[in-house]
Amino acid sequence: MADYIIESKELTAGYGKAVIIQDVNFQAERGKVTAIVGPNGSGKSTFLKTLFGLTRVFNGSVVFDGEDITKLPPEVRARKGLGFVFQVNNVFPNLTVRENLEMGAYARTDKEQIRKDMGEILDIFPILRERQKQKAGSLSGGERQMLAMAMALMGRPKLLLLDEPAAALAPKVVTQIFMKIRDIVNSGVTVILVEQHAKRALSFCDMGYVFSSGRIVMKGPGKDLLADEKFVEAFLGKR
Amino acid sequence: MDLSIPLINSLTLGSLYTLMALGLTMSFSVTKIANFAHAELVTIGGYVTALLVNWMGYGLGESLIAAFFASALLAVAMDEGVFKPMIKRGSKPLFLLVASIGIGLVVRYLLFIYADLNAVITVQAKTNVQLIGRFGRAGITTIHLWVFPITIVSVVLLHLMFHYTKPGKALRAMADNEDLARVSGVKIYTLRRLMWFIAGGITGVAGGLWSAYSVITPEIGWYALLRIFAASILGGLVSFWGTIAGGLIVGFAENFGITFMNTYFNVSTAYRPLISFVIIVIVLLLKPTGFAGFDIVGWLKEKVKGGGE
Amino acid sequence: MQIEFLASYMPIFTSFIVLFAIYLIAALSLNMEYGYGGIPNFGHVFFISVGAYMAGVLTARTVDYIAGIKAGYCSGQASVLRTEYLSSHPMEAVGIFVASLVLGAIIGGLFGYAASYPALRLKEDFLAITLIFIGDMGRIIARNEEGIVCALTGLTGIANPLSFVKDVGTRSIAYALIVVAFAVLTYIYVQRLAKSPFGRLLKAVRDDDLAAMALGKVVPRVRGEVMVIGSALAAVAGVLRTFYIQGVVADDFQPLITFLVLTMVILGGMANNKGVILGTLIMTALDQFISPSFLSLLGISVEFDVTYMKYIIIGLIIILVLMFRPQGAIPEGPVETPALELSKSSEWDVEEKLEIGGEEERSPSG
Ligand SMILES: Nc1ncnc2c1ncn2[C@@H]1O[C@H](COP(=O)(O)OP(=O)(O)O)[C@@H](O)[C@H]1O
Ligand SMILES: [Mg+2]
Repeated sequence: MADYIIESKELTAGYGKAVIIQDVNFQAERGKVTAIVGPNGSGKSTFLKTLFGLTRVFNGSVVFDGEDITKLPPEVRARKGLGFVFQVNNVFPNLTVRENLEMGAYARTDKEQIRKDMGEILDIFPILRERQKQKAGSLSGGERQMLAMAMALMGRPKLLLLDEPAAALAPKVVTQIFMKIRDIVNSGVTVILVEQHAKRALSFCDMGYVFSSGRIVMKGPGKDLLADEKFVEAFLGKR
Repeated sequence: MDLSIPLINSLTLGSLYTLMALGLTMSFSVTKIANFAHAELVTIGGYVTALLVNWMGYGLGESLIAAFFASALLAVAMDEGVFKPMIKRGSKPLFLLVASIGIGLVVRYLLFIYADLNAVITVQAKTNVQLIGRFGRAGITTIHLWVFPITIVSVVLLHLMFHYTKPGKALRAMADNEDLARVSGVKIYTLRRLMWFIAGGITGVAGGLWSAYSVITPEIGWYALLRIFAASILGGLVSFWGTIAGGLIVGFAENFGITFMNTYFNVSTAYRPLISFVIIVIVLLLKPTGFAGFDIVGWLKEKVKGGGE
Repeated sequence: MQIEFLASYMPIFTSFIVLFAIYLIAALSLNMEYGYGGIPNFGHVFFISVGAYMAGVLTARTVDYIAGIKAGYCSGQASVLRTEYLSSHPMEAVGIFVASLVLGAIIGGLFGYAASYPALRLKEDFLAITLIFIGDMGRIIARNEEGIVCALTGLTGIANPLSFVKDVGTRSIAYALIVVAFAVLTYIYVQRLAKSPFGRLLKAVRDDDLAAMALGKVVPRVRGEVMVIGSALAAVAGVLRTFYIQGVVADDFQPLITFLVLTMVILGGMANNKGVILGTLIMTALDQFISPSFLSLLGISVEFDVTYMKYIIIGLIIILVLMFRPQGAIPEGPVETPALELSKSSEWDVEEKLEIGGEEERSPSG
């Protein structure tokens, strides 16, 4: 049996009284990239937020590292090794770049190691080193996305949730971002990647899930999905 | 026209408004509640100080510390007892504002009853006020020796807390984006309590200083609230330095403004509150963000360095 | 014996009815602005006071002029002479009353129009803050100007339009009937408005600015209109009050009045006029019966000013309702549309729609 780092079982969740995702059974294998694709508004972001405890759960459960975390608040999940890069508003605009990175490591107590990590992260993202003292609100879109990922990495997560990290960025930056994600995976972090750009995501991932109207409608290894005629017709259209 | 008296008055009141407004700005930026019961934090601080000094014979310093704790606890109680449960139930932001009005009424009129029964509807902390010097025609008294240092020390301490301590930075992070702070592992409820405690505390100290400076009533907080909002709104309700500038501007605008209008246009000094009101309206209509986003410190650094690295 | 007993309570009863009716007009107008329109006009007391001052100024100035009273606007003697004149000239008294109502409504509406400028531009909570303070600024001006309502002393001698009726009991009952008639008219008016396309538009604007934006330039106009109508109604309540207490004092118009009226709306149920009647009834009772004079009638005496108790209770009601029943005693119904009417009469199941429309959102954090 595969080693799943996180699993959701019959997960139904939403906001207030509104049910957005329904009966989601999802697994992500440790050390791999699991992609979630689907049209805009299909509930991808909501699902990631639900894994992190930021929505209202109506039914079902989330198991992380063998432990049922359905009822735990987000701040506790963060301490257990989950990291999140939001789709939007993913940095603290009024904090400096450095302070943002420190916030990323907020839950950690190993001061020495944090300092080392900070140095390493700034090596990985040299642009951030230059901008350390600048307010994050003044960064460009690409820089902000880099900072958001760097922040999440400062928390040394076991599992990183990335919500459309390349949306609305210039193609050159997108390539850069995906290279960084590959590095992250190679360093042993499990990644769940939400993408609207299905081809890009599915060719990048190990396993892919397709969301539509808040439900999983297809799953399988990314390459298989891309080769699946039914999938191509329904979600990629004729190109 | 001799300006020494309005100058000293402006600085004194400006300092008090600054302290009170810093409390409001802190709580608004973190919780997004426009807390009208903030007025009562001023009043409670004032009464605790006045009664401890007058009845128990405590010194002003000890009484101010007690005022800090009294208002700090009241602030935490408001949040734990009313705001937090309402937020958890998904209350609309405006309902929180209305609820804060309710809290304000309860606290203010409980205090009215207490004050009525004990004949302290008007009261002033009877400290041993001594004239220690003159600035033009204005007297500098021992009260000023309390007000100015406390204000400066509070501002410095708060600045250090917000920029050099972990909880302080986390509070700024929460003010920016609460969900992001949570996923970074910030225990938002614990920090929120800390925030209310400090915000309430400094507001209470300001109230206490006010009771030493002049006569107070159970409505003193409501009276001050207009100025507090004006000061905070000048800081966009979120900016630390903007609020400090706001407090001083309100203090100066009121005292100089009314002295000027009174001298040259024979306007009654009773219209003093209108000045703060006009500030609120102008700022909200013309530049709702106030000084927020205007990086005063950065700007000063630029000036000093001449813009280069 | 029994009749005498009743008679001694009659004034309390009529005064209760009058105040209830006046508050009801005020509460219905606030409900229209805030409940239906989503405009937090927490400066409501200001618009009430505009009508109240209007009635006082117009009556006093007019009577002083036509009766040739030279005793001085604020003097006690002028007050006596005005009362004498008005009680002996029924036509003039009624005419001035009617003129006050009309002018009061117009001026109130104009101020409402002015207030709609910030109302269209500010975020909800900033608007609420501004309006709360507007409410108090009007009072500060009035209590410092001799020319409006005689500063702190207050303007007196604004005799009741029915003061030509010699029997006090009959007179107060008759005036009560007039005020009640205004309240009933207001109720019918706001009820019809709420059910009209305009009312539905209002709710749409309140619930979703974006959806309403699709309606083009309508939103600012709708909000402006609500402020004008609501403020005019509030001013009418003020006019009726001035003629009831036969005078007007600036310090009667504290922000607390707004909060009392707001409590009526919240307690009864926002955007529900029937609920507001209930809320107003309860709060008027509180307002009237927690007073030193009423308690002493019951033989109760306390060591402190009992009006303090009143405000504590108002505060508690606000807190408790918002915490535990934010929809109020009678929750807002679904939007009345022809389709809903149709579905009511047929077998269609509308329960589901009610579910979605009725409750407000819950935040996910918790
Ligand atoms: N905070 C929220 N409150 C209420 N509804 C929301 C919220 N966020 C998203 N939604 C709704 O949930 C649905 C799914 O949105 P989302 O999860 O963002 O989709 P995706 O990320 O796939 O584009 C949408 O219909 C959206 O309107
Ligand atoms: Mg999304």
